Amino acid sequence: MANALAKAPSIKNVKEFIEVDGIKVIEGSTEHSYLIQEYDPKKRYVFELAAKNLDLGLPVINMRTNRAEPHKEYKPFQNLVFTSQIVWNNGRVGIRYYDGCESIFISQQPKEKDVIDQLIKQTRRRNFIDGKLVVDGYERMLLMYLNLCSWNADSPFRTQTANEIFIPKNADKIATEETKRMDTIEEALQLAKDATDTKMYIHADYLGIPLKDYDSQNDLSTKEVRALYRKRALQDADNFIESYGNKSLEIKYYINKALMEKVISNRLNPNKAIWDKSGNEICDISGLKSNEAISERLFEYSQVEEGEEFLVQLKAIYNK
Amino acid sequence: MPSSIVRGASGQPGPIAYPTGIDTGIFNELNFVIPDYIPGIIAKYGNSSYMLAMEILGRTTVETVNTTTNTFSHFEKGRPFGSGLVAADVTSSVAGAAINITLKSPQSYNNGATGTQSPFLLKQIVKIRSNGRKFRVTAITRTAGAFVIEATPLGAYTLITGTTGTTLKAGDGLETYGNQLAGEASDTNGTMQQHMYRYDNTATVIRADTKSSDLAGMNKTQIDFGGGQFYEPTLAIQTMNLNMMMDIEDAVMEGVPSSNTTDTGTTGVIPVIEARGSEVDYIQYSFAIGDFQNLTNVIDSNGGPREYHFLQDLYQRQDINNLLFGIYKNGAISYASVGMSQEAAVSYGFQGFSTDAYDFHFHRYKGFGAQASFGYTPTQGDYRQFFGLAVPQGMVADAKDNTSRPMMQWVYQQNPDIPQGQRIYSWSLGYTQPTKTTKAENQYSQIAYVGSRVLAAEQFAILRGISS
Repeated sequence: MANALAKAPSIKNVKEFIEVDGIKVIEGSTEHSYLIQEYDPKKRYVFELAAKNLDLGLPVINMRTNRAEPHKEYKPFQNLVFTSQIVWNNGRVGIRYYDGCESIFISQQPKEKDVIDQLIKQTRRRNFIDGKLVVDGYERMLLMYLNLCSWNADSPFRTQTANEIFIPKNADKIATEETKRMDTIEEALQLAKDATDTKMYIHADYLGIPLKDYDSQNDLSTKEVRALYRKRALQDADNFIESYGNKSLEIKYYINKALMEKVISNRLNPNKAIWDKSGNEICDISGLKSNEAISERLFEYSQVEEGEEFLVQLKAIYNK
Repeated sequence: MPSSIVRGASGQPGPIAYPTGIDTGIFNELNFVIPDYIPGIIAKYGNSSYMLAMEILGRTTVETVNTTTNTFSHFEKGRPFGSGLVAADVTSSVAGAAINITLKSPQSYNNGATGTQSPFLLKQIVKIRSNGRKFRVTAITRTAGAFVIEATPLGAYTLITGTTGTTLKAGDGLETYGNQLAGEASDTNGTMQQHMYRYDNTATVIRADTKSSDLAGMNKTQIDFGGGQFYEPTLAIQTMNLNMMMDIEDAVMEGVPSSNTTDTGTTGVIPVIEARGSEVDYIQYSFAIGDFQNLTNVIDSNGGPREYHFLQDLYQRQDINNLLFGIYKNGAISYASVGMSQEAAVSYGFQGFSTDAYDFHFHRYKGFGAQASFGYTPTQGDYRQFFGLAVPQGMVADAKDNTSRPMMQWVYQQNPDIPQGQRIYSWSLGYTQPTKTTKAENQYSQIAYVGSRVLAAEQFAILRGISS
């Protein structure tokens, strides 16, 4: 064998394993942390189906009220499968839950057929009723199975091929996300409150907040625009914060304003944008017909070295 | 599973589409599912089409739709026995003393402005599920968001969950009975009435067309397309009919969403079952008796009828075969739902199995498998692999007008201009057709207005093999 290795491949990274309940794991690894995880025996833990019902479009009508019944988020019934395979210590391992068995790892469970048959018989079936499975905290092995198995979409040990059946309803995680969302709203509201009038008008223009009353076509007062601006911060906080500090919005706003007010025009030559008052050329706009395209071209010009002076002049006009 | 293309004449890509038309004449046989002709149809199209099975078993209907939105409806009654759930823990430490129980919405009452829709009435006797203790409803407070009943024990006991402690726990079940303790010179009680629900669906429009040029219809081929027919239009007739069958079957089973269009589609049987029916999972390739018992338990809990059709993809069918037919012999099985006799059932593609008081008639359903229908093996996921649908058999009376209907029905909408009873309407025009055209070709079209109706969706079940 000409291509045979001259020597056996060396064994890399020999790691120290420790044993927890008969299972070998690397100390401090994810596997280790899941094995030693403790549950509050007085609490109940909730798992919910990963797949929610699609809206079927046509609601069910309650004929007594003549109103649509509320859309049910989850299917009424789905059972929990007690066997799964997981990726454990980089290899595929089988786990199975039986009521009263002291391990979920098949390698650690009884091998005698009679005992297994008995365990199967004594294991109570668990089901997701209306999408929810509630497990008491003292069911440590069941909770460990639910957290490890591949059916759990959040399990770090799931195989790539497994179906995603459920997710743990983590109250802390939900609370953290909720808190983060509230923080974002508060931040957006604060920005909306503190923004200067100029800044507000520029940002409001980007956000599509109307500056005129639709019915009367009167310009809205600054106070009215501010109210709408703050309302938008409440409704769409993420987008509000993300776009708030965007400098290019400001420049685009000024360019559009200059075009609308004819501060910039192409009246001398359709192919050249000029300062209308002085007639000085700004840049070439050959072939561009629409206001949008011209505005975009002017913005691009403002971002390059030759356009620096244009930008300074533009800001000098509007950014007072 | 290795990625592979099924080779040979039956592999991908399947039929060839001719946008400008080639070569067929058409005679739609699908409207002629009459007893004398059934063996011929089965011989011609095989027994894998559930649409044909439904047609043969009379599980389809042609209805006149009275709305302008293609909508057809049916009505179902709700459960006649009322119950509720305890919303929050209540302390009950004095035997015989009344307690106030707040009920959980929406399981116990309709959380509307007044919360008036509830199965709880004054004087009613209510049983606690966890221990069977009974109490009488002595007062009711209906406020928005909080329906409260005053519960007075019938005996010298506390109203708690289980048998020890002093708490009636959130989630305990409260089951209502009538006035079981009316006493002497009793007066009237309140009235109970079942809910009545209306379920709507719409019919989608399925259409197929084909053209046949004069020469294509004249040139004899070397192939006998059946019945001594050597002309290409014969093959096209069969292709078109098979495609129409499959189009209708897929539309009814899987649905045709239309919310992103200006057209009207239909909600399929399986999406309805996924939302309102039950699902029993098992591990692929290791179907066990316990899995089947899970299924029969669910069916039993939902009051399912004795007979079920079980539509399965081949993988699940093999899982079932490996286990059940190796262990159980076919017992006394009623073939009422598949043609009265075992011979007929087998010829329509059903195999029977009876357990836990239920008869299952398995039908290998080609529509679930990409290999069987389209001639290739999926490599990026397959949503209907190891999939089975248990369809209850029997008739259910409509809650509104007592019309008796099968629990899964294929509803064809009646166009008043089309002859009565036609499910698929065919017409033609061309140089040899009654309506002449100048061009030397014939054009054939067929159209169907079809949707599904699912009655008592909770009695259907999905059996799904999941991958580990």
